[in-house]
Amino acid sequence: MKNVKGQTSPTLEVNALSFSYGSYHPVFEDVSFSVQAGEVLVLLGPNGCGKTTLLNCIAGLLRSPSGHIQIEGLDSAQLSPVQRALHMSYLPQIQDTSFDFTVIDYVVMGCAPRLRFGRSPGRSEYLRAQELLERLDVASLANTSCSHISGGERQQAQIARVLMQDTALILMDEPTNHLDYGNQIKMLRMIDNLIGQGHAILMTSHVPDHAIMLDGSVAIINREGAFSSGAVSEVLDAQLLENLYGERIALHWMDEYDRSVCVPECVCTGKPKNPEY
Amino acid sequence: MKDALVSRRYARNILTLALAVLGVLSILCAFSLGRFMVPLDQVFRILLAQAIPLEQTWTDQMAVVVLVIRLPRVICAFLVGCALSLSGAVYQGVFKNPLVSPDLLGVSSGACVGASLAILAHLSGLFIQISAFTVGIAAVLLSVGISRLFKQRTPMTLVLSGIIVGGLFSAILSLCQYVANVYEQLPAIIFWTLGSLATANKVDVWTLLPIVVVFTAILMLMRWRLNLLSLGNEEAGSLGIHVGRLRGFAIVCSTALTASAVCISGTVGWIGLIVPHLGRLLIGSDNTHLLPASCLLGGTFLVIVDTLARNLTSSEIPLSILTGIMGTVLFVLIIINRRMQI
Repeated sequence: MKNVKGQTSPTLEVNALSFSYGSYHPVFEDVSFSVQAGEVLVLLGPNGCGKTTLLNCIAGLLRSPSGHIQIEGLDSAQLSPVQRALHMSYLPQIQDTSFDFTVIDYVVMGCAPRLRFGRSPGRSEYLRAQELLERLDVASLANTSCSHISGGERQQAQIARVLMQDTALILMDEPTNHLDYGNQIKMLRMIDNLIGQGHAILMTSHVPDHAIMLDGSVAIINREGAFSSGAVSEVLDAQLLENLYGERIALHWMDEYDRSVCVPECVCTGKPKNPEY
Repeated sequence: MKDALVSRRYARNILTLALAVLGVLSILCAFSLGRFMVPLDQVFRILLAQAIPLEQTWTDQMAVVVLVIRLPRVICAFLVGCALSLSGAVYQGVFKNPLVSPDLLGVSSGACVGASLAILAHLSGLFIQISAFTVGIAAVLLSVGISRLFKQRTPMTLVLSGIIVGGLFSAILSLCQYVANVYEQLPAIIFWTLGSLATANKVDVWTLLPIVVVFTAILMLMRWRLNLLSLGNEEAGSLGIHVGRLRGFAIVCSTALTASAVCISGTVGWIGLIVPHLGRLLIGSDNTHLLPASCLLGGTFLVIVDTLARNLTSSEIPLSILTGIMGTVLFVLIIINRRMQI
């Protein structure tokens, strides 16, 4: 995606999107935002607010949301699943597969939208998958079963699978979920690399710090399903976080890192704070 | 690292080739073995003589035994084993459940009922087959219909409906057995439900062959795509896969395979469950290699089982008895092997 500012349309543009399951009240309403190539938008919100539903809508996996979704200037509703898969890849939350595929067999699945029905990936696809694993420093895992690798390695395999699909837009549902602290940071670095390569990324997270560290845009769905978005530095403040998560959270500016950190104000000492309580 | 990649592919291709060779050998041995033994070299010459003119070194009796009596039966055994194992492997992949076998949606219990009804009505062999096929397919349609009643449509609801329909049809089967004539019909029903290829003839080969070839070919074409079904629905969908359509198509193809196999041989248990696991153990979970391997393994397995069924005792042993015993032994071996890997 060679994006010359002002000449091409954003990689993802969402306009007045609303969705409801059946006749229930809408999960979210009138959602509008855009993500440019080489940018990240981190979607924050409490459990059950509809973050995953929004991603599934954009991925074209849910039926008839109202509103418009444009991917690289194309109307998503007009695209077939295969065409859509050439423009957009999706990393859902980690799921267990019942059969243990090797890592390289999993990675090579990313070429599915480029293969006609009846074709299997051949030598060139496997070599490309191997190359991607090498680039992510996990080449040694190629012939290991997916059920025998750690969560962090699984995440790297997923990234390789997405790179195999090679799309301008990447959706990620809680990519740092189930990862230890070090692997969460490693994951953020990988995401940062993807942004550097010009991919547009829309991801969900439960950790506001991740949005701050990636320093892109942030979007918020609150408990009522109301949607707002903007640059991290403009949108995120202590008041908003408290409203969002129902706990007092302070934002401290760290000069040496040139960014803020979130600090929950609760102090857990094990003693009751209120003697007569 | 790239060498490892290439050598892995070679290893699997060589393994598949070895299975094919094993299949051919088992078929040749099956031609040779029986109450009337035909030496292997004569079997080879008799078969070759069909294509090129050869000097006759065999007796006419040998030729009749090999070409008229054993050839249709052995071919049917291979095709039935092939069809059941392939559809078992596909079902397990589609339902993401390693404990599933091709009769999951009630095709076998339906076929049993169909055959029993035909036997009760004193119908001939061909009508027994037609009735078994029809009721088998009807049972699957009923399963699918019931699964549509569930609010959520997941593979799990289909599994549940299959169990319900299977229960219904085994009840009807019991009823058929209860009302059957004890001296003629009941043994016929029981013999049918245990599976046998004793009556396999040329007509069976020519009805089974095209069906097996066509549906196997279709499943082979989509075999890599079936891998994607074991991903989550979202991930598979985001790869441009129409998950529901692909799953449905795979189920239709493998059900047709099972139904046509079962109506020739009667129900043969265990093959559809055991052989795919054996294949997975040998060649891995990748359907690109697993499906061809399952076909070859299943065909070979049933040819061996059927040869044993003919030769072990003076009267024929029903196939399900042998597959049940051999299947259990194989399964235990697989589990022990798995434990050693972990």
